[in-house]
Amino acid sequence: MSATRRPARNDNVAGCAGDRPRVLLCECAGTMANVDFDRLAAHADEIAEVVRDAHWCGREGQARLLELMEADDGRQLVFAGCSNDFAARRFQRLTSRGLRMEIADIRENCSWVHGGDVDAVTRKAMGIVEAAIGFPTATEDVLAHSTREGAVLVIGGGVAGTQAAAELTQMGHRVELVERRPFLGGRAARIGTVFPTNDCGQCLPTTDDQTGVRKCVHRNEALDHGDLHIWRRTTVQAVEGRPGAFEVALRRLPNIVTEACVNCGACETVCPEPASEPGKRSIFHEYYDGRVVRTIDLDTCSFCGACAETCPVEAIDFTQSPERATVRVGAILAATGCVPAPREHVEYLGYGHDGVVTQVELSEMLPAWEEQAALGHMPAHDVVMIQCAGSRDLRFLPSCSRLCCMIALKHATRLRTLFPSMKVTICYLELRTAGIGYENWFRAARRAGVEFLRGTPPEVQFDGDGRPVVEVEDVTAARTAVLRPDLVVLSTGLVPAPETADLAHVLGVDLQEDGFIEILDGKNRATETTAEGVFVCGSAAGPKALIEVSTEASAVASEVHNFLGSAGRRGAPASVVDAAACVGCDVCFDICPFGAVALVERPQDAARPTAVKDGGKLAVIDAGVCRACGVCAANCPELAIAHNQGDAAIQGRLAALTHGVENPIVGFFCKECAGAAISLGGQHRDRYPETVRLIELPCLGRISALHIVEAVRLGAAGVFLAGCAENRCHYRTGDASAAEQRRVAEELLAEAGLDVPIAQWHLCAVDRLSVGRRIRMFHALATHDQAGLEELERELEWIGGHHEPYVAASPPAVPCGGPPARAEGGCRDHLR
Amino acid sequence: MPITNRGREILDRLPPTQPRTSSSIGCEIERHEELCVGCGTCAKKCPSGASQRGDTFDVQQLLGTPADSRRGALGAALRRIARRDPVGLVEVPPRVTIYRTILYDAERCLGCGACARNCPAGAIEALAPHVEVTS
Repeated sequence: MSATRRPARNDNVAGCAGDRPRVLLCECAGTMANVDFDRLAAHADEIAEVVRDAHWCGREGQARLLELMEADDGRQLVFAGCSNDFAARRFQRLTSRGLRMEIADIRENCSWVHGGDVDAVTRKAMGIVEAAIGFPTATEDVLAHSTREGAVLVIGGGVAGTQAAAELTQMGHRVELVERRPFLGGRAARIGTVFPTNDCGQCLPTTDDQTGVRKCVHRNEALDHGDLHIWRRTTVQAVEGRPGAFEVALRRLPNIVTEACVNCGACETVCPEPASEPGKRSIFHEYYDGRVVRTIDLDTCSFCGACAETCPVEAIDFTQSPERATVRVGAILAATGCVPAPREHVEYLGYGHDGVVTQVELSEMLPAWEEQAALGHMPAHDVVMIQCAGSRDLRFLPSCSRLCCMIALKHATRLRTLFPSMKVTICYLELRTAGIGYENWFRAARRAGVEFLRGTPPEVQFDGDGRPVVEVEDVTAARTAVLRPDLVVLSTGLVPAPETADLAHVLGVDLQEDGFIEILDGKNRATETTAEGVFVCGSAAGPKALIEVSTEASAVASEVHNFLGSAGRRGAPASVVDAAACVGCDVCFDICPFGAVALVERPQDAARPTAVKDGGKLAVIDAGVCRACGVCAANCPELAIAHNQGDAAIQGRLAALTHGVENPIVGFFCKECAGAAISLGGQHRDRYPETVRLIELPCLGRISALHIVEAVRLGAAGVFLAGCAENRCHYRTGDASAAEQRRVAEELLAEAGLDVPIAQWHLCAVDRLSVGRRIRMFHALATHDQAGLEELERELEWIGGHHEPYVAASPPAVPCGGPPARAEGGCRDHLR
Repeated sequence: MPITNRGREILDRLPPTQPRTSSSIGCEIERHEELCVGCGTCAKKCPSGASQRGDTFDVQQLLGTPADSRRGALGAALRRIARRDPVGLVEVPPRVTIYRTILYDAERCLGCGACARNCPAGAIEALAPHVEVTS
């Protein structure tokens, strides 16, 4: 074992072969007093040409840098000074002109976080500079997907899809709008009036060449744009290609009724077959679309031909057959919406008996009731609405569908207005009326005389006459109320449209637990899915009210427009599979968070490891989809994947950094959230011992058990892995992969009899004030430094957080569960 | 060759003991024939051709498996409907994808564990390899 081995120069790095790299040594205007720069320069001079300046980011310094840049002699530039973050901002103008520097952070990671031990701090700085020179990782940005199709496929012709499609055509894109049903307008056009505006839900915003702010779907000329192709009765069969250039196979069923139809209605009078939708014949019309007014329900039509014989304009053509087509698009938008929960969710509340309906069914009954009201009749005397029917219930739908409270308020108010003597009671747990103008509906319902009863019944019973009996615990009055209504209305939840799962499979997007399409980031990318180039809007990603749907439709149109118009995604170069080492197992294929890996049949002429006798499989990484997180390289059992920060570079850096240090603590951190916390913590100058050596990774998912074992082999007394906040990895699964690799390393080290603590932290920028202390505490625990622990305890006592004595025990094997404690005093929890 | 490249690199860096419980350095494949339904997923996933779908199906092997396993249940059902005792191997037409005897060749196995990860019947187990460490 050679723990004190000096790292070998990595001569394979492009740009510095043969030439000595150039190190720009920055003294940061004298703020790094604990570094002996003469000694540092002398050391770096052994392997590189050193150019010193007291202040490289000052006016004169930047001018010198520009000269060096323009002299461009192809030599690797290493900047030894501040952190990556700080340098990126300071040298932004030069970077935008093509400056590429490897950053050796001797300020936030070294000088500013250590004390006055000049010898120790200088030696650490020497290690950092040496690592940066020997194993540079600053790679050139590469552009993925620089050419993109201008067209967009929109799946779903509801309010969300139609509005987004109309807006995209106005932005100049060709849009293929695919709708499974024969008519546009979706659910909103079919449910009568909607909240919060109390008018119908079938309007779309107008374009500039129309008057007024909105128009019905069937009158809105935005839909008649020449670039908007509407595919009715069409489903998506398959998607090929890559983001920016998809090839989508569509299948369209015939409408049978042609455009010659003049909407006379003669056919409906002769049709003998009832349709699957109640109250309709097999040939039926919908009033809200306008472009197609009539169609045939292919599930129920007996093809008897009676309608065709009756039609005065020969608009019914049974000779049409299904057709298949392929469209080329740059982006795909899923706007498939949601549907009311299935009846199994509400059968426990008596659904299926007479006198029990859902809110959707009530909305269909309301027009008839209005007529009754005009005649002075009252169809029911006592109506009870039950909220959260089958939702917020772990047996059925665990989530809140957000709209049901408002629908109940709307219907209850309407009933009280139509029938002033009707008793309307809403049984609720919480009324969720959060939204612009929503609370007014609650107040209006109170004014209209709707009764509110806090509590929902566990079941609905029926008396001898078959009348519903609702026995409910009135939580506010603390007594049991027995209601005997004529009609029970169940506010059911909303679930994804039934085809969502199949569509998600075809599109390659992930679903949430409840079956809705998962959005890429819970906070920042609400209209993007987990597949690049595939977007989502409206209720396909969770139930939404019309105002939110409309907002999202506009938002997603801009997102898609930006995606198609952008020059491409910039990033580090993609990882590459070495065919000579790849055995073709499925590890990388399974683990890639972006689906960039494909397993293909190994070509005849491709290299193969000697162990692979037949052709077999070969993993291939799509450079356009790969985001270079390194998760595949970390997990590859054969080390066959080359990441731009390769295993040799990480091991080389480890050797350079830990060289000659007694009991070092090695910290791997990702350059995203943990990088922000550590760099800001360095500016906060929270001190920790010099023996802590940090290595930056693109994502914590780059860490492999191999690297942890190597750190221990080089003498590390403890290893910590710092990644982004829990479940907030910028590359989606990097923290999970790191946790797995940590577990493997722990297992291997334990079996080898090496008791070295390995911790995994979830950091983000809010931890900037505590990260230094956390590192100090880990150091004290790992090195069994009793004095350090006592000092920390005194410090925390002064802060007022923690009073239990610390025990220097090896950390437990379980990863940090639950959200990490943010409190100042919670440091000990951070170590778990 | 049940140890992976990465496994070898890791073992090089550890003191010479015998880590055996970690399948992360490679694995040995153990097949539980009584659970196998012969679907051929392992053969499809196998990168080296160590697992292959045979052209035949051994009915007697099926009938001999214990009745409490999946394959045994199939055998029991077959016994009920069979008019005479099946003899020898049954040729399976190429287009029939299931109910074949899987041929497994340990010599060709790379120890990647893809078959164990993908087996729908849970009939393949990836075990930690026996590592001979010479110090």
